[in-house]
Amino acid sequence: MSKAACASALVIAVIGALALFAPAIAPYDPLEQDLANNYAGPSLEHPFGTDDLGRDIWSRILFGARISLGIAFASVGFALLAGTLVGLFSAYHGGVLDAALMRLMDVLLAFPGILLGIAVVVVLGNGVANTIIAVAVMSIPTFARLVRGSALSILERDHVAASRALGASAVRVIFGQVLPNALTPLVVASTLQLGTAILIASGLSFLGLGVQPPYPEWGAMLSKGRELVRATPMAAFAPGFFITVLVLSFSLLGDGLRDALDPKHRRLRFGPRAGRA
Amino acid sequence: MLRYLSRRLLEAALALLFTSILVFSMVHMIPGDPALLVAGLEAGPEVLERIRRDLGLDRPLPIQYGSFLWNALQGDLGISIRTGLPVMREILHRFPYTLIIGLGAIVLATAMGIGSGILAAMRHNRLGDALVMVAALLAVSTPSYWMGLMMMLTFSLTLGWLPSIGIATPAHYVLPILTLGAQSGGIISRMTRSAMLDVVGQDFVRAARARGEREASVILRHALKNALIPVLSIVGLRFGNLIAGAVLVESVFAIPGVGRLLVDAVLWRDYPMIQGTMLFVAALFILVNAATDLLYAVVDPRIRVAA
Repeated sequence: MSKAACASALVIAVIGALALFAPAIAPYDPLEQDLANNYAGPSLEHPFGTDDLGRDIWSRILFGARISLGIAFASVGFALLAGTLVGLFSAYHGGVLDAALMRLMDVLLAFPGILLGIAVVVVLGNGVANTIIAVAVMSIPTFARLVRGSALSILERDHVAASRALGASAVRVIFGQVLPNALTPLVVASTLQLGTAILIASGLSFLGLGVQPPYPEWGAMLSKGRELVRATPMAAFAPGFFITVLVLSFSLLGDGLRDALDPKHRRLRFGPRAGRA
Repeated sequence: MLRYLSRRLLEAALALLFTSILVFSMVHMIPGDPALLVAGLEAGPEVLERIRRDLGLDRPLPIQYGSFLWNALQGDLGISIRTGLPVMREILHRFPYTLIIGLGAIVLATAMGIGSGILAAMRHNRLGDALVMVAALLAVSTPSYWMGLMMMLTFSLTLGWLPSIGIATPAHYVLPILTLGAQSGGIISRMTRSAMLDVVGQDFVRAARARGEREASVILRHALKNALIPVLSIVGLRFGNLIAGAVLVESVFAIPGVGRLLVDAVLWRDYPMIQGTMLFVAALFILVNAATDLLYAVVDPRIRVAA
């Protein structure tokens, strides 16, 4: 794996550890107000200063990492599961149903992620759980398309034909032969999708449609930071900085994994991997 | 060509139809009585009854959808709950702001992206290439809402060169356009670079060199002309994304465009306005993408032959 990808993996691991051990590391309660010390600049007690309610920004960043990473992993996990099932089913079933499902996936895929996210929020309302669903819905088509593509080519292989000739059931062929051979591109796509998930989830929260205050989700913090940008610029800088670092890291790690695992794609390293946010 | 044209238009029409169904059913999937959502919780039974009749909520869903679609096709997107004015009028009133920053951003992104992409390809595997690719990576990975804030912090609040929020003067458009264009600029830059690298290794470029043409002529007349075809299609596709991306950028800079209108409508639960703005933005997106594909086929005959 390339140096950039290794460094990215390290960065993700460090932020993940900070999130995991946030209660032990964070110097303050992320929700605790201290109105006597609001708008404090960076200092030894408050490395990133405090916000308008005197809450410690560094502690909020640490706890925010739990929410942002949690949303990203939960939504991509959910989308991975649902997308894989749709893709496998579509490929194995074929016919009109396959065509209809894939048209639907194409329309969803062509849609800007943030619009789909807003549509889901309109129906379900805001909050952490609904943000996860919103981000998952927009990620499903990516996985469904990918799995269907690999599954179709794997279904043509001799070992699958042999397995079928021996009388293996559909479930056995799909989960015993097709899925294990389709895993590599899924690992790469999941990694890349984690970055997109963080972008969309924090974007929704930034608009006031995702995770709601006072919870320290990074996008929601950034929305607050926008109002405080004059008084305490750190409140606007810190959350966005961490979002950017994570998005960048997942993107570099995804590219690195693709190069390492799938030599066919090495040529496309700088290809048009269009972001969807 | 005619076959490709009709197929692509049919696809766009299907996507529009699907979008209209999605936008229509969105409001009906919300748990609760739609009349209550429209009227507010304190409305009495007579008011609710009147609203049900006015909005046609007492009719079967397919008929409601039919009239929704028929009205939308005629440019009637209903009446805003919050303002009592036609949704379409409000959208048309706000759209110029979104269009200006969208067009500005795509022009900027195309110019910067193609220029830097050519530079990177010419300096392949040297310092200039690395610098451009790092800049492109940062532009693609940085969320627009943070980039906008940081530019505001730097150029408005610290240096005082540009106004921060609002849209009163032409100077107000500079930061939103930069913010909105950055990501697309990065994508176009990568695309141009890889397309140029693909092309410069091909025989017709070597032939041009062998004829002793000047390097500038080889690059611009032979390589670029062929490399640009896929790049131009990305430009068109990005434009649709930019209109959607304006939702975030307009919120950063407090610009009263269509994106901000949508977000405010969601926060206010102004359902006709939500449906109208979503349908408007999505339709624009689908039409721009279809137009891009058609132009692509006009420019590059291989596309329509393959299709």
